[in-house]
Amino acid sequence: MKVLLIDTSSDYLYVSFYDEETQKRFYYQNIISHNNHSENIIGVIEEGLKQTKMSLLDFHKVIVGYGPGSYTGLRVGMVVAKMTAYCSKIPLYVCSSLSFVASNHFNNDGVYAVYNIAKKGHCYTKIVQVENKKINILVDDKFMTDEEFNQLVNEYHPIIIKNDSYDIDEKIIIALSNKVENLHEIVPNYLRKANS
Amino acid sequence: MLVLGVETSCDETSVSIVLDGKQVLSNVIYTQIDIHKVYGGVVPEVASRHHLRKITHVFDQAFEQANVKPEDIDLVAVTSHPGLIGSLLVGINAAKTFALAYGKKCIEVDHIVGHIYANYIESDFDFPMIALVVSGGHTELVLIKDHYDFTVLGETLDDAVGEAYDKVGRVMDLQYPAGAKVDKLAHEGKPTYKLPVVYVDKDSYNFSFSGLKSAVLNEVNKCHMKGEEINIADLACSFQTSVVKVLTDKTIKAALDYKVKQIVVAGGVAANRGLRESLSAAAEQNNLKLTFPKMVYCTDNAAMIAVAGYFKNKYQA
Repeated sequence: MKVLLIDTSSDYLYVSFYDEETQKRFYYQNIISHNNHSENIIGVIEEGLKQTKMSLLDFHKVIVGYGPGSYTGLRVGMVVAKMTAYCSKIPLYVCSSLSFVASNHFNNDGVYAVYNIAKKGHCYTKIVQVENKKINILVDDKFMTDEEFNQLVNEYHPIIIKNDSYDIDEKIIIALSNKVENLHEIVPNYLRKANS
Repeated sequence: MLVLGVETSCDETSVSIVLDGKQVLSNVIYTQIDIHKVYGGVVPEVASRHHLRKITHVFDQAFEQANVKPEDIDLVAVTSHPGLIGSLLVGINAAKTFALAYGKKCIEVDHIVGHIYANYIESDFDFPMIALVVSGGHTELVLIKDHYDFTVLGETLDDAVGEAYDKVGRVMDLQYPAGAKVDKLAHEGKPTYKLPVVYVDKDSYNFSFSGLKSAVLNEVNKCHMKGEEINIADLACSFQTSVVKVLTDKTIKAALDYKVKQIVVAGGVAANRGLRESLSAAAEQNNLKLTFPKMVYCTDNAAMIAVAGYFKNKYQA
């Protein structure tokens, strides 16, 4: 089972090709893309297909970090993931972007606060506790002020995972992802309503 | 050649399949007008979200209606600009992903060029031509010497004509989008209000509508202050008469100056009945061939992008 994994919720563009049988990634790109996910994502995937001599139609499933995070970033990842699933007639899975980008940390016991910066002194965050490989969510994906985040830090004393320490583990992402029942209707988990 | 067109530049999600730049096999349009009505205009973030929600569904319907398989597509054409950036990104990435999956070439198409090529679905082009582009975001006169050979002769210096219709509609308490409503009212009224016909200057092909819009607002305020009732139909008729006169006069002048064989009208305001009547009469009087797109191809649609993409691939790519 070959899996395409994508996350574009932060400044980083993650694209990974992963083999579930061998439990190995066979193509991986993690680039600082800032506001250019749209310009980069197809080229990064295309390069991977070239290197691995694959077609986009050869994947068996696609997993996308569906937020929370940058609105435009989320849409870029989601539209590529939706269209890949649509064209390849394969299932689409979604995973919290905060879990996606911090997943490798969840191999070790501890309490983790995953932080993704938002605009105007706000952030997206979640707090998880890992004990004997079991992941318990203490605070689920939330949009809050940095002040509120600091209060949570004082309460839980977590290891804080910010963008410079994001690190992904495909096996954990797969375990944390959920299958999308209606491909057409799936949208990112923005957490916030659109401003009018 | 089978071309798949994708259009998401504003508030319409559209996918179309067109054969040889002419025969529209499908043209599926999901419009968000009802969603944006409550805001009195298009909200970019809301529009982007709805494009993403609908995009695969619209692709699916387009293939079903055309009764072709994705593998049969020869070329993908997508609107790249101008438009709302968040909305454009959904269509661009959807089109590129499709093209990557099926190993097809993907070319980017200018939305305005797409509107011009909507006319090709109705009638072959006789070059040189003048295109009058009239929409909510654009008002331009374009000289077209051949396929993909465009020279902009003039454009609006302030409001686009469709934008002026919406703003005047708001002053008249008409719900967004107001263009069709003003057009309908104009046909029920008489041009009794004295409003300016703005030519900018005699030889210019440029347009200006903000003064006319302000004049309408002044008339309404004057009536309110005097406690007089406004005859909305007459005001709409007066406004439309001014707009249509300047559009018609400048288009015919450009057509005669450049000795063109055809005039095409493009964009959402091409659906305006007053403009159609006025330009048709003037074109007939001057023995000029005039083409309007079918109503369905006046508003944003992917068929026009597929047609424009077909010719861009043939003459420019």
